[in-house]
Amino acid sequence: MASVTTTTSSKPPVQQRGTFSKKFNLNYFLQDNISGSRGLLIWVSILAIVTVGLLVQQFNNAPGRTWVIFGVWAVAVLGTVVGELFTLHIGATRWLKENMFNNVSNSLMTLFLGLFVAIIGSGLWSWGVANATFDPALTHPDVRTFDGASWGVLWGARKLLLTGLLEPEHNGRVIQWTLTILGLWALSFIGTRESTRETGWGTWVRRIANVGWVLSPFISYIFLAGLEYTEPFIDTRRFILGTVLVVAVMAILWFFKVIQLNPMTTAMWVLAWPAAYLLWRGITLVSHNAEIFTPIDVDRWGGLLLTVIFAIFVNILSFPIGILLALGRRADVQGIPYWILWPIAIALTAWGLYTSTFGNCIGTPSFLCENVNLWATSRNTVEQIIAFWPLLIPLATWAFLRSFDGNFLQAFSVLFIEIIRGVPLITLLFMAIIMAPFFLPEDSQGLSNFWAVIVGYTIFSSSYMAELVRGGLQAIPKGQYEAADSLGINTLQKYRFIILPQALRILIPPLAGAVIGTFKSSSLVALVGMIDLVGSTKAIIANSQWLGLRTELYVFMFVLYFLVSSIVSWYSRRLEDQAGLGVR
Amino acid sequence: MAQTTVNPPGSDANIPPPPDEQGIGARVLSYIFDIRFLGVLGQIAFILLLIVGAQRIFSNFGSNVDKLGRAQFICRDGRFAYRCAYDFMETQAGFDIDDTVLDYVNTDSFWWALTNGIVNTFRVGLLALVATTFLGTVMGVARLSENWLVSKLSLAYIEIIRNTPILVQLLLLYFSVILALPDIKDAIQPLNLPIYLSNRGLIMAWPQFMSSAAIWLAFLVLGIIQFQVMWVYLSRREEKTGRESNKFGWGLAGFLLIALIGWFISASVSDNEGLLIADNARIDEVDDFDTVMLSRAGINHLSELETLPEEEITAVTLDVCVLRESSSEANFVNRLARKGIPFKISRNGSPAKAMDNYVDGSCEMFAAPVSILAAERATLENPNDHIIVPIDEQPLVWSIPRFERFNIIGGATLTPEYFALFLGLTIFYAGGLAEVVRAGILSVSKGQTEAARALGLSEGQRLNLIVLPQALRVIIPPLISTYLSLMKDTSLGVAVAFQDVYLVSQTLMNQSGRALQIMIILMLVYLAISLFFSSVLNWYNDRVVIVER
Amino acid sequence: MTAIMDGPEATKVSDVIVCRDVHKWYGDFEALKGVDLTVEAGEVVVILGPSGSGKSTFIRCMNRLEEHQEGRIIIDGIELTHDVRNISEIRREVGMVFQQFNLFPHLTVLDNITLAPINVRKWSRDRAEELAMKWLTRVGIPEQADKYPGQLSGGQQQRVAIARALTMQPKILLFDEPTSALDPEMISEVLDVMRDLAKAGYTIVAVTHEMGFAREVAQRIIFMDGGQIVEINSPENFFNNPTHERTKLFLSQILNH
Repeated sequence: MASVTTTTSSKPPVQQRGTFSKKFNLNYFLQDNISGSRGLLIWVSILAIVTVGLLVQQFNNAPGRTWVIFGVWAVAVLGTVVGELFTLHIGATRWLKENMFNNVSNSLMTLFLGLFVAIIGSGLWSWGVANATFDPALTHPDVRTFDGASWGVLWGARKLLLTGLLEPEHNGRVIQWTLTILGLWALSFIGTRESTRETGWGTWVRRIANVGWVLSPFISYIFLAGLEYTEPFIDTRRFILGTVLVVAVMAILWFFKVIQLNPMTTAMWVLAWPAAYLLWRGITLVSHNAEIFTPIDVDRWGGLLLTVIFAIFVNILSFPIGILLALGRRADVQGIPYWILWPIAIALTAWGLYTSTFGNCIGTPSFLCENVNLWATSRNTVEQIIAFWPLLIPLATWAFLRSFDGNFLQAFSVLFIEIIRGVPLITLLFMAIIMAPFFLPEDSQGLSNFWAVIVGYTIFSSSYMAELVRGGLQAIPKGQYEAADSLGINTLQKYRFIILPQALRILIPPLAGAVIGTFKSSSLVALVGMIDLVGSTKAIIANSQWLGLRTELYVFMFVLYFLVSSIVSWYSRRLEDQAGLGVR
Repeated sequence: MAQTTVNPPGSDANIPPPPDEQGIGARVLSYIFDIRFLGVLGQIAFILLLIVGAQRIFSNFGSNVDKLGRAQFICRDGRFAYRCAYDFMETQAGFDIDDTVLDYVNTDSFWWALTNGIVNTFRVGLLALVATTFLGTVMGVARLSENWLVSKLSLAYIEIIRNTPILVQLLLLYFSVILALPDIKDAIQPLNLPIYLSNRGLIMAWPQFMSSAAIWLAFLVLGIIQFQVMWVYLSRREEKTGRESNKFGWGLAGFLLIALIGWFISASVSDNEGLLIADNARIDEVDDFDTVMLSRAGINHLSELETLPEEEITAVTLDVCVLRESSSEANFVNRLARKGIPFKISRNGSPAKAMDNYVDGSCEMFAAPVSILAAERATLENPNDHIIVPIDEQPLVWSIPRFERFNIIGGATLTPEYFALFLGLTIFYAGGLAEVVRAGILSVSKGQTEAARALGLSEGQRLNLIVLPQALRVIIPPLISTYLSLMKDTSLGVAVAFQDVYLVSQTLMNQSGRALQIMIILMLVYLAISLFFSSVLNWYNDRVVIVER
Repeated sequence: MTAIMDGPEATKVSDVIVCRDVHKWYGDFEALKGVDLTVEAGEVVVILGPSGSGKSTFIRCMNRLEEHQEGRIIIDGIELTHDVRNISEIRREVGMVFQQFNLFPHLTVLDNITLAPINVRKWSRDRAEELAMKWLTRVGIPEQADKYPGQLSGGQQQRVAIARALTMQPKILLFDEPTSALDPEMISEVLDVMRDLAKAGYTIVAVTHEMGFAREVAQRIIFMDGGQIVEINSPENFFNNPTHERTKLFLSQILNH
């Protein structure tokens, strides 16, 4: 034992350059890289065959390029091997060794992927740049002389791509609106920079931007849809009804001690609606007389404009609905007791059974009346069974009491969210469009497709938002709720000051994901006939000038969506960093 | 310490009277402010609000149905009744579905068309689901690769795919990639495999079941039973003797052996396939074709055929009649093709038509199951001048695609639409899944790996026993959500005109004008799919929660 | 204004906490099996007991963080029922300090403290901040007012939590194991503050494992086990000659390690 120790210690390891003092051993090398296990052997063999095959094929197809790639690869491998064998690593070779050539399999993989990237890259390059034309005059099929892309179509069809069917005289307003929104964004951006955050004017910039964002839906609407003036200047019914509603809300909140009132705040509540209403009507009248914001038909919006409008509208609308649904799903209120529910359920069942079997029209809505007696008119067994549909009522009551303890808010939210999430977006959009005429009042003009799609889309988006918000709410520790309760603040204040601020901070990344998701899936409206960015393709390539230039347009959209999504997710990371200030 | 003591401590006068002994006013107020009462009141108010809203909407609905949609509820006998809402589904569909697996013609009913749509949805969805799982796992693992190039390329893939809409990806894939592939006559054939890629989609060799496959399948079932028995037996032996054995290896070997035996047995016992041919053709078995061909062409060896001019080959080509969509064709043709004998196939809709061709001489022989041939032979003028030559069959026969004039015949075809939708869904969802897989692998902490090493587990054991179970717990819930989204997004098939349930429904609506009814069916189909996946998810979560406790 | 700094506000009745036969179930499990307790104004009561004995549940019932199903709880002459008015009034008068501090991480220390006075008591911000600073001074950390809770040590956070409870001017203070989540060297700074409050005449009900604190400050010690009050005794008697076997066992386990 002792002798062994002395022999080892008598030969201290020679300190070699770098930390790589391990000597090269061919046996170990083979074992580690090739013959270690059956799986490894098979894998390396297959990889070698495929790589060599691709290499040979590429030498035939594109010798120059392939020689360069192969040369670079061989030199890098050689450098690594030399560095490894003679422990002569420098920074570059060590990086190569660790990241590309750390074993035979990875070295082959590097070559294979290098060739692969070269094939794809050169294909795209020759199509998109080398053989392409950028001249808008050379897009007509008769004068297309290039094999590659005709990017001129993007410039030539810019009108359709940007605003769709919008009349050109409104372009100015679209530009003004774009500048307004960009300006707001710039203000927010400046106001939240670390250098300006703490200064006084930074705070003011931030405040102005925040007010701007709150008002942005109205501003956008005025710019993009215009204002339609209708007589009379003040609709007395709306004026009074609105005021009464606001005052009623105030009274209820006051009665349940959610808010405290003094003469000042009371006056603010009472005057809120009249002031807002008068302001709106005033703007409308002025704009009408000066013909500033003449109305625009919303169905004329198209192209990128429509895509952006969808993303903004749907996100802004679905966010509050999503929060409400999430709160509803988590609502911990006393359920409706069984002794209220069962009598109603039984009465409904009895009435339903009576009408569907003995059937007459007592209390039946007129449009159902001539059909209520299912039993008498049934033609087969299935229809006879259907006549007993009212038996589903007690079943539903039982399920409701069992699953939700009579908590209707929860049941409603859960069913709403789950049903909507179970159906593809495009089905909802389609349904919104085709079903709208059935549900609108008879005398109405009919809903424009735009609004129908907005409704369908918002319903869809808000149930996804609801699940995100629910996740955020669940992430707040129980102690936060308890601390808020123990201080005696009410539920509204608890959510407003304690829970939602924390939940929303947690939610910034997933919400940004949802915003990007909405923006991306807004392309689906093209499938229900809207002329958004993607939908405009059909109109463009139908033009003989740009016949068949789909690929150019799709690639453009692909890149555009990618850039916008990347920018938004970058911005969300910045927001997250800022919101995290002071919280470790 | 400021304290105004009203009553001496401990006396009951300190306690207010119980609620039910208080004055009536106080009691009523305390009921109103009872948090439970307020909760129920709020909910009832909410319900009333919903009812009022629904009534407004549905009263419009009623009058609108009267105005716009009365025609939607006409019974077969022409009367108006709501319960006849679905009567129209029994009428003829009147439109084609190009890509079906079930037999469908445009005179079938709406119900059947819809069923075909549903089958198509599952056909593309389930295949994409499997492919997504595979590609997503590969990409997720690649993202963690120590090879810089692999990891960065995988990152680029994930970022690009996740930041662009699936619709644009799908359109690019369909219009700019698949439809831009070469025409069928210049179809790409990778590595000379029987796979053809063209703007008609992907055509590849595909196994077809012969009638003897039933026997073989029975053997396969036997093999599976054997596997189980072997597994249980070896496990017991392991427990008893403590000696480890390769249970999977032995089980698999047994299975393969039984499958092989079954293959030969079923191939030798079956004599279902036959060939009807004139007696004077001097053919008693399939091998006789060699000599017949040699004497016809006047050559010594079949390989000399290639040297002959085109017309001579055409002259000696065998004319074969078969039934359309019959597996007899692949079975017979594969034999001829293996020998290098030139042949020409004419496909007939019914045995009678094939026999007409046979009788008038436009085909020399008729390949079909023996039972059909025997019946048809009896209808000939001189049955004894014609013989039925038996053809060997195996349980499975490869239907191999081959060029015939300007088309490719045989094999299985993935239409461009199916192919595009399948690839589009796979590529898109694999991007999301890659992130899930990556997160799952990273979720297994380093400490776990170290603990496993400390216990002396081998790398394989570590992966199987420690890493995978923990990673899967993180991976599976989002995986199932991904599956659900994927199944829903098969509805994007409408962008490439793939006739899934959504597009079929849309066509049905246009054909029948019954939007409401079809919308309900469509919603129910998707809800059923989503219900299935969420119950799987719930089941899994419940199980995992129990395991964790 | 300054008078309130010295001690709690006057109470309406002398027995500020009255619990009569309080029962609480979690599903089938009965957490409280008929608890009776009366606490006088200005009294300091410490509740001891093994974990799972229901002591935390009991103290949390006193401000309706948990709902008792049977029996009566009357705080400062107001009965805890489902009546929302009573609940919010009682919560206003009862301050609570938690084991995990439960400060609001997104608000500064000062905002944490002034949130409730401004929104519940409807004080002006100036008045709330003035009182908050006084309480922060009293608990010894006025210089931390503009920091976020995450930047403070555990002991400092707990003192902020105490200041937060006190700025609401409660008549009763509930402490739910206030030192259990603290590092040992920080326990004393929190106990010092609690001692100070006890001397100032606050009515305090505390669940704690700090035997030294209980012996020194408490006027009565309540020992709970299995959802019941086993023994109520003066600190001296409780530690020196406990009457119940269960108490003896508990004390021997606590003290002999």
